Amino acid sequence: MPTDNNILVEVNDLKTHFPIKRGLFRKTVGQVRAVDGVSFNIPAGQTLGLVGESGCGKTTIGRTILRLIPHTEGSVKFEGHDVFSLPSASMQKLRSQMQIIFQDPYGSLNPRMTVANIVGEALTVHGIARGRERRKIVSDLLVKVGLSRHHASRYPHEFSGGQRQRIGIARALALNPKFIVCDEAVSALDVSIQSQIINLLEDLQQEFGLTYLFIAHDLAVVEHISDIVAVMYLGRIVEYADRKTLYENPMHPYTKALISAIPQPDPTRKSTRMVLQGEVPSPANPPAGCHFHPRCPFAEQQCSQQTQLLKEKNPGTNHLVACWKCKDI
Amino acid sequence: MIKRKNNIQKQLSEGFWPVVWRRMRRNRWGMFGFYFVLAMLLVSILSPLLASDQPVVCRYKGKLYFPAIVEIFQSRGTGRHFIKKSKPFNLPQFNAKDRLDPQEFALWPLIPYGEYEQTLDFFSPPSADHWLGTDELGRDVAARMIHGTSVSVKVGFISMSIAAVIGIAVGSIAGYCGGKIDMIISRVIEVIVCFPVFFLILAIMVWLEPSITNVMIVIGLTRWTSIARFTRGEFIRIKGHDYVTAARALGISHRSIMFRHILPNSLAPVLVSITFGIASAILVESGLSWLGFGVQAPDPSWGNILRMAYDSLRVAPYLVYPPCVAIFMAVLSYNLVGDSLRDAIDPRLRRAA
Repeated sequence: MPTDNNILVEVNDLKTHFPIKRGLFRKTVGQVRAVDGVSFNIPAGQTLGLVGESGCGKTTIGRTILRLIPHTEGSVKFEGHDVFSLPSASMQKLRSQMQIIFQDPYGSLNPRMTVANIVGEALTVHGIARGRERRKIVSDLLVKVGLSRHHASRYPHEFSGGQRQRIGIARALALNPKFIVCDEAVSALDVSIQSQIINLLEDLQQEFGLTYLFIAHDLAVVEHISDIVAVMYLGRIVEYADRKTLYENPMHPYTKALISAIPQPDPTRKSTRMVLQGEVPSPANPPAGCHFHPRCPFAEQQCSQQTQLLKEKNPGTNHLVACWKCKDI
Repeated sequence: MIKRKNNIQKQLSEGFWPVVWRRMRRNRWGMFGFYFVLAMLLVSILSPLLASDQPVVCRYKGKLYFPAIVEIFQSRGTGRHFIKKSKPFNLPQFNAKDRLDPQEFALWPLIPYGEYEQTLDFFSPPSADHWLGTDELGRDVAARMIHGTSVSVKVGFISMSIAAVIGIAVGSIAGYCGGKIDMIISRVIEVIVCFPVFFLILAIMVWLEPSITNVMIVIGLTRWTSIARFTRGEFIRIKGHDYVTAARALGISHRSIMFRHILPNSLAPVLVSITFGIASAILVESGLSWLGFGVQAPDPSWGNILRMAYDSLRVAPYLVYPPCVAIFMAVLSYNLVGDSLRDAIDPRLRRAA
């Protein structure tokens, strides 16, 4: 893991469990281990791509870091401040530093508010600007994300999906944050719109020096935008490496399977797809040992008994894998 | 060119309520109900101009007077049992029928009888003079019906305003806070729902002085449960939307999230339930007045007009129709409005708007 000083976000052994409540008195009968011991760092100005199947806990990680969902264990440090132990007044200040962009461009904008209010509300709440000054900032933001200033007086339902996503981005940028969680920010869009939004996100990163946690399930998109990639499976990170290493030399069998599934725009290439058997187990009752072992073609007895932690495969490299067998495969 | 562009923008930027209104206007029965409600509202405000024992305009000894218009702004209804016709408006020369002085004139309301005014025709059947007949005290039923409208309008709006304030407050707290608070509030609501409301109101009215104010307060205090349930459900549904999460991520206060983000989006179905609530409040008030616990004689209300008509059913059977039809139409109209409102805020629309 990179240990240089310009780490913006540091996640340590983060766990988020949701209680399963049943019956008249809502007794807790179990835990959904949505995030089960995750650690990673995001250097300032870079993009960490977080990939995994749906239900593996990607979204939960993003929201737990922003303290939108209560965590169970572990810590998150943002510029050295422990996010979870901050009193609410300091947290309020920190909120302007870290923002989120959502997947669903339809559900993420309040249908009763005009664009000007959606984007500008936070400016008033944080006492940054009001009245004419606020209008100026809002229209600048709208232009910056590729909308026009007269859109400010309109309601969300008058916009297309891609335009709505731009409004969501403008809202996230309003407080001038350092860190943005892009929670499947392009997954709900058409491919052509996807590329526009990704280019916009990259341009904004250049301009404002933003740091992204880019959550997605589309490996091609993640490859395009990320500097570092973390692969998740059932609440845990199974592989963490810089983009080039991960895509050229995947170590974990799950990563190998994912990468072999990326469609290749070359009809002459012979497909060497590695097809996984079975389904993702329930996070309420994860398998013992390595979570991936019931579906892993290389699993041995050890895999079902002990959990391998995320470790550097070769000392000195920045390529971390959680697999007992990765050296042999 | 620029002007045209501005026009297009204005047309496009339609908020949620204009869209709902546009859709409601397409529903013919709903609009019928809406206009009937509007008419009731107008009649109740302007009742002295429609039926009064005082002229709308009159000239007496060279001076102009507007006694019926003045009456609109005075407190009417409760407490004013027997009007003393103040001078000079009770003078015979104002009666259009036997006016003496051509210089003096009076423009009388459509129905030139007050709601308390007793004539000497008892139980007269409907005629050109008394459109709906007179009752056992010789009072003009049309005048009483017109003045009774304000009771129904007031009861509907005021009692449901009380219920809406309580219901929305309780429901939004339960829905937003969730957990134990929600559990306790929901159980309390379930207990209150179990009371047979009409009998509860009857029991309370036995202890309180029977008056229209007390009726309104008691209806308001017992009819908030369905509003609270709707509000709670909407809050729970909307709380999970991404725009609420976004508001939290922006550091917006709980109060602002509740009132600026969730409440406006949850109001539409609550409004439907309020509309139906008004209809049932009118019915409850009529029932109470019929039983003698609501509006006290001689103040007119549709309920006690019906009661008097019922008591003299054999002598004057035609007297029961006006209050019956009025109560039926009022309740039907509010229900039609509620129905068309519910169709207009259909969830398919909500996604688009």
